Amino acid sequence: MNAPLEILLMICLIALAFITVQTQKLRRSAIYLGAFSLICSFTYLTYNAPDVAIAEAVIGCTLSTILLLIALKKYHVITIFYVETELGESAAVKKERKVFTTSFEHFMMEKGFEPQMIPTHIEENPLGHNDCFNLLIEHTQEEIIIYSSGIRYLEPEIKEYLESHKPEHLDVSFFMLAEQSGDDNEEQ
Amino acid sequence: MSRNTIVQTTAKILLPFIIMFGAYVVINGADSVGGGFQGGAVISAAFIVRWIIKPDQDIDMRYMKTAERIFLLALVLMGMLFIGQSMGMRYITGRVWMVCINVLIGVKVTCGLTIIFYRFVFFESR
Repeated sequence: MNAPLEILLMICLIALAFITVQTQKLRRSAIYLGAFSLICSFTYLTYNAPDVAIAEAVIGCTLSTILLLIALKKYHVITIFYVETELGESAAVKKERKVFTTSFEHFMMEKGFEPQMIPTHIEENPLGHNDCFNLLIEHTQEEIIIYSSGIRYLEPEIKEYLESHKPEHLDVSFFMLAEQSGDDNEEQ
Repeated sequence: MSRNTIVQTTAKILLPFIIMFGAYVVINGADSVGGGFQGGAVISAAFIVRWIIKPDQDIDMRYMKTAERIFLLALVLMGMLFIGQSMGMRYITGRVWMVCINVLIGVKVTCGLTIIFYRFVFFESR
């Protein structure tokens, strides 16, 4: 029908498929897959198949993308709150924090999970928010305090990792919070 | 499930238009682009938007399942009516028949996809 447009769309399809396979984070991969479906439906349009194009746009781009994202959220996304307390914001401290968070993220990705690191600043008691996060890392001058909530199956591995990878001059302590859905809501 | 005000407000505004578009695709499927399946999928996307607006509100699955079965039965009966029509009993003709079939398929697909989605969201968890 329209040769240059068709070729352009085809190239986009191949590029998006390649990116989808090669991306490290699974959530981005799901989004790229949605974009792939959208371009795919445009390609169907150039082949005079608007029926198939509508079906592809609705099912490939909307339904399957949302289902994939929900599945990822249910099983693999670990929300990490990274609380930065007041300390002298020297370059060395910033660099050390950066190294810590980056290596922690890499550890999560190796385990097959999706770390979602959110730098935050919780003034009041953070434990009241324990339906929002899976891990809360409080990084102060002397120690790293980690609270975990709702990821009981992952806790031994995190502990093991922290034992081997913690910065030398910091103490690391680890607390598990009770499940929000359970009867008791207290710290264990 | 955390809530995002911008997304929720946009979804609230878009919801009736999605349903309207789906109904348009279903009804005009007979003589233009679209059809029962596509329109039904669009309307089930509206149910997904409803989940975005109210993440913790379930729908009554039993009614959905019953409705899906009833519409499947109606679809089969409609096909049998077509056989009767070809043997000379002309109750309904042409375009009306197409629209009826499309509407039945649309409602059935809506129920089916919505059941799949809500089942997945509310019952499958770690």
